Amino acid sequence: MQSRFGPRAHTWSLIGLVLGLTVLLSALAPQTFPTVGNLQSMAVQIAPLGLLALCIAITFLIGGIDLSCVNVANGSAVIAALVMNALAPSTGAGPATAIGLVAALCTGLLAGLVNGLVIAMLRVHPIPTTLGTSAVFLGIFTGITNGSTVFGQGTLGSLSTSTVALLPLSFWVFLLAVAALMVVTQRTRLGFRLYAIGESTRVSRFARMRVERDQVIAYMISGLFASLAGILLFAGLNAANVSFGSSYLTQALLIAVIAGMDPYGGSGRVGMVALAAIAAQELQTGLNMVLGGWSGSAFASDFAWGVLLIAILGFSRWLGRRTARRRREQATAALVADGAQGS
Amino acid sequence: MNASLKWFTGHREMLLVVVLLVISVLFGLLNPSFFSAAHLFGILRSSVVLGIMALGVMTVLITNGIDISVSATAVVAMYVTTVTLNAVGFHGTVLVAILLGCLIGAVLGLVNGILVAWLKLPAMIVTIGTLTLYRGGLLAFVGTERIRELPAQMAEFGQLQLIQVSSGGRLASLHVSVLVWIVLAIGLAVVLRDTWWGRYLYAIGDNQEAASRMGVKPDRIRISAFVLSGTMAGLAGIFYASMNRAADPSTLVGFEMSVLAAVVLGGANVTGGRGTVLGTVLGVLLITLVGNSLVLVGIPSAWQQLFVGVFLLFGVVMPAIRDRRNRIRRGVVVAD
Repeated sequence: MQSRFGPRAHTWSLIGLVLGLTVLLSALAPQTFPTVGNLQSMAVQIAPLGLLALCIAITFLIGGIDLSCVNVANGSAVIAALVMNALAPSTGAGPATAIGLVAALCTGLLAGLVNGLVIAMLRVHPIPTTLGTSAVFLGIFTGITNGSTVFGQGTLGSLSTSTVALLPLSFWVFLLAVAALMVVTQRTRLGFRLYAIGESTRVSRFARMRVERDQVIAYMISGLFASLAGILLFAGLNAANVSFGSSYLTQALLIAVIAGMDPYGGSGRVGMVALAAIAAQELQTGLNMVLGGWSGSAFASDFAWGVLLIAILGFSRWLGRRTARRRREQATAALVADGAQGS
Repeated sequence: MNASLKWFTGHREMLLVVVLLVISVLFGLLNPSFFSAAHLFGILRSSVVLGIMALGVMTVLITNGIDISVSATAVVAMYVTTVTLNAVGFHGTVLVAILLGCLIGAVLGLVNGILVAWLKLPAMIVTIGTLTLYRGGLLAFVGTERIRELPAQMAEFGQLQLIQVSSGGRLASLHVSVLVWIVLAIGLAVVLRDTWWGRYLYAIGDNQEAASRMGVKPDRIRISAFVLSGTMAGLAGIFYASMNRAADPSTLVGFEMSVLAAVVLGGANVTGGRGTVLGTVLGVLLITLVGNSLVLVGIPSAWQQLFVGVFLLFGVVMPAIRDRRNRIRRGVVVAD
């Protein structure tokens, strides 16, 4: 009684989507799309977006949501830039960069800790909580930077320019993050508990799981990945501003939803985020190609992201309804068959 | 002490009044020009756009929904109205502009409502999608230019004052839209308290299952709340353009945060079933008062955003603490 659209089918349809888009775009633009340079620049763009989608994915998994991830990313980038600029004259570029990175990651972890504590200990709903902390983080970092852009020392540029095995370093960071999160969610006890909490917080409490601790851990993972995304954004632009990437939240939500994460928790696999992020970036590249030099193309792709998010939510809702109806019909048929045998 | 604290947490409006008074006195002591008619009228004037949007968002919040897209709705309504009226060379009454703005807002709200009701997903995710969609669509397909030439009547409406008082050599004036806001607030309060529709809002927000067994159609009520929210946002957009004498499609970014902060601070709960007009109005006043007065007492305006965040978080966390205390007292904290 396997559902027609089970996890395996979903994996294959995502792989099909990625391959199909690749073939389509290569056919449309054989000179520009399938070149090493273009694919590498796409990979550089996928990395921060994919990391933000991981933030959404891990919090979706436990039935929560982290709406503060974009602001945490920008805030960590600001902190990294400020620390590096402050330390570079006295310690030299190398140590300053290292300390800046650590400071950025700590910012993310701290932000995640705050989110997690408020949600787990006070049992506030995650949507208003992360909306509130998001506004607080935005306020803090706007105040610190006075709303202006902070420029860096250029020491992180190699993250997006140098390559290992043809893939940019930042993309490797993203792949490692996905792999680590896959291992955690699929192979460890913590992962098992996260799925259980997403399925039912109440039952997990009755099973004497320490739900609060695991929720805090999930939000801290989200904060950590958000700060990684911030570091990658900062590395790519050599600049940090609290208002960068305002449409990232929609895109990250979209990627998490395409990846099959259930907003109500308990199902979906984080590994799919990698495929979904690649597919989303291909769509973006395709849009840019179609829109070409039109001045409104950036806004039009915002529009397209919004339409896509809602269309895909609608599609999965329709699929879910159909599957549920099928199951009901099959169950009824089985009952009728049983009854026929019994009499 | 503890008893009076508990009384305050239970009576949000009273607490807000006290906080408003304390902050006013504090700011007044720090800078006497706080109590000038010009500054107080200025606060009321800048409350209007936030206040009208907040009334709509509160209605959605009562039904256990949330509307993030109000800022985009307002901008779309204001810009499309301006462009349309300019294109046809309209010179009639401002009421047409207001009606058109409300209509556009209502349509966008209807889209939100249908999507939320149909997708059965958190309204948050859906309205984040429509927020990007509305604003992106406006900037891509309608225009990105700031329009300074408003239709004549709209520009005149922006100058229409209710009262003018001369204070300290300057003319302090109260804009007529403040009156509109007050009328709308009273109207909504009456509707929420005395009509079936108003009671249904609270019913489905508090317990949808029970409400639908009682015969309420949750989807219809929910959609109507989103339509109201969109309409209010459209109206606020027209007022915003008139008062700023320009229609700029890239303004009001992030304004939805202030709206939500005001509503949540006013006692509406994101889990639904709670919220009063008086609380919302007080929340709006508090947010605008603090935002407008920070500069007066020497705090750079860059920190204004932080206060919005703190108010929002405070408004979210406080009822949660009270609920938790109640649960512990009832002894159900382990299971729930």
